[in-house]
Amino acid sequence: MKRIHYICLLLLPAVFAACKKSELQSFSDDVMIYFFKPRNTLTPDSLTYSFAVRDTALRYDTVSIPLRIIGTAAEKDREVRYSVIPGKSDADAESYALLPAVVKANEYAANLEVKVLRTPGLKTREMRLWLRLENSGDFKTGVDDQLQYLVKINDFLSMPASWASMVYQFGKYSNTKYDLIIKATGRYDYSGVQFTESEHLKQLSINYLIAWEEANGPLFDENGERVFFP
Amino acid sequence: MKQYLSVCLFAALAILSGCYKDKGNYDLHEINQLSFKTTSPDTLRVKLFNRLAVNMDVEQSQSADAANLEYSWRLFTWPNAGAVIPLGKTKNLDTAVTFNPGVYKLVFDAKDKISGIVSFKEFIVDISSDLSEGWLLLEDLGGVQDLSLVTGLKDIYRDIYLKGNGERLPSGSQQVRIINTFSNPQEIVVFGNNNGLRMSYINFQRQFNYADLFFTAPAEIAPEEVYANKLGVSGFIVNKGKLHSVDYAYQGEKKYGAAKEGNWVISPQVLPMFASDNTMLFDTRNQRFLKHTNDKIQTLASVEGSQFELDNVGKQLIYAGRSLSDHFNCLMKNNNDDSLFIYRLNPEGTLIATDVFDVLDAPGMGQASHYASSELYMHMYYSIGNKIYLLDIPAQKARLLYTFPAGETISAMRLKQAQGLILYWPDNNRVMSVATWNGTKGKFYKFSIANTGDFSGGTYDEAYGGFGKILDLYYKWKQ
Repeated sequence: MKRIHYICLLLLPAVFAACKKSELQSFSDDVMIYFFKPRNTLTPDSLTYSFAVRDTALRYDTVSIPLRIIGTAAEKDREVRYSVIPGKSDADAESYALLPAVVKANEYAANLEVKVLRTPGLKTREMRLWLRLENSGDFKTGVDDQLQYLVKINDFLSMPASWASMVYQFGKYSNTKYDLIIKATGRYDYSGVQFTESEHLKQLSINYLIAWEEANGPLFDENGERVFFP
Repeated sequence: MKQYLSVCLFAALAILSGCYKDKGNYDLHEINQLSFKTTSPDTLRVKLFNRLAVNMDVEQSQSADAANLEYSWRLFTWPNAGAVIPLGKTKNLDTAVTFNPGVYKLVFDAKDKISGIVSFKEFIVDISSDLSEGWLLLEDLGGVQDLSLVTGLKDIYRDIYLKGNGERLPSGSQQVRIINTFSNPQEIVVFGNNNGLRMSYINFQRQFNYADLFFTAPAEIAPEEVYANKLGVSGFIVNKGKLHSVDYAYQGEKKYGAAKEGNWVISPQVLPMFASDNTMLFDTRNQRFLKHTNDKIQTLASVEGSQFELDNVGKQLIYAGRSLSDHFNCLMKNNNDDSLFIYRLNPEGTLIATDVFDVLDAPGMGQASHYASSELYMHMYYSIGNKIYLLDIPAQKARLLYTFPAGETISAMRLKQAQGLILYWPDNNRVMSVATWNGTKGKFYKFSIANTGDFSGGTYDEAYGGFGKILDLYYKWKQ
């Protein structure tokens, strides 16, 4: 019985210890960096850059990939280190250039920028550039499944990610249809297009198709299917 | 062993404590019920910039402590409660009316802080300005055009576009339309053969030039008709024989899209349907009725029992107007120009082509300057020169209703006819407004329509003078 009393006496301080007011803790871990994947984005972990929908005189451009940090902002610019994953990438070295990346002072986010160059090889082959974040003097890598990002580069038409938001208007994708839509609307990216304008873009495309078929006969896509809009 | 027994005893006590009889209080008690008293009517009519004031007495069934209660006053748009305006948290309301004219629902909440129960009372609030409601007249004033408004109180406001904008309407303005939408503010559109604009329904200030109503302006600006369907969820423009549409109910800029191209020329005589983006149309090129639905123009098959071929009418459409039971009356003329017919359509039905009536005896009807189809009776009014006739459709003959003095020519005529589901007027289809022109002065008349379709007393109720040549008129609902 005495032993039970001793046990109870021993437990009492432990119970009251829980009542002690805790102090706010400040972030003290390593500051980390990762590719930011906004919710509902059409390009969470990859993007396609196509020169085919740009001006023919355009020789190079820059793609931006969003980054976020885990930790606190700093009073100085901080270096982000990244590299190409050799085994997974098949992009020719002359089709891209990795640009320096920094998180600016007092910022929690940045863009990683890659220069893409219009090379002849892009006409026939889509090049895949896998990027990987690495530890730097300022950041460690964080969020294990958000440390790699795929950039696809080509110079022929391919389905844009934003097509998904226009399926109701445009229907099944084909390169022929996409080319027609670009000619009819002047638009190759449909991100952020709201419903009323999407209907307008569809109608412009239908009108273009009607005029084209009146002059040339039925239009068939690269799969042999007649182009139509739902 | 003793220790073991002590632990068992402790555990047994803990278990048995679950059997302890709950002596909670489960009797039902009356809650503190709230009731409201006010001297204000359930429908409050208030002018813009006046004060909206309601005194409320709140009685509690079990307490006299007003500190128990929390209040709130909120104003909701109506009938689509898409926006809410908080007005205050006091028991009595007294606030300046700075909201756009229109009809709202006012909700008073009182919350018992002890029970958490909220009781409420609703009011309808009808906010208007002097320029909210009345007949909007588009006048030609010696080569320039402007608007006047004749209110139900018989007040006349002249040159209201000039006063709102410092300039007259675009040269050549010929027609005026009021579009009441389900979710957007009322639209006032004025257009001529090659121009147009939309203005604020509150102060008549210009908001958009005609070209800016579109995502991409038509190559040729040639407005022929502007209208919405009955629920006001879709709007349409017929521009140079082509249809453009806008969905008011969806996200995005409320602009008209590209023309619906096809093998057709769309008549400005249109047959707006209830909802969605539905409207019926007439193709003057192929003399057939068409339907716009799901953002497409489609041909129409004639089901069994159809009284005419929708896809092959073989006649010219002169006028289309609304009739009773959701039907439309279409005045048709054969291609030899020697016979008239009334084709009746029910666009909402499976059987659309419901009736055909010959028009046997209707003086000058084919050359009339204005037409107006009644939604109350099988009647169609028309004017020619200084005379107004009434065609009794089943009887196939017209009778003369009224003759203005010689030299006064009818320059505009329109029935007071609500757009559809979102509006209701007690005198819907009961007022005919007519404008005349004697070469130097314009006059505006209002006739009441009797149960026979004739004008009550055989003459007009009200007459107003001092106008230029009234080119068009349209009833502006109280927004």
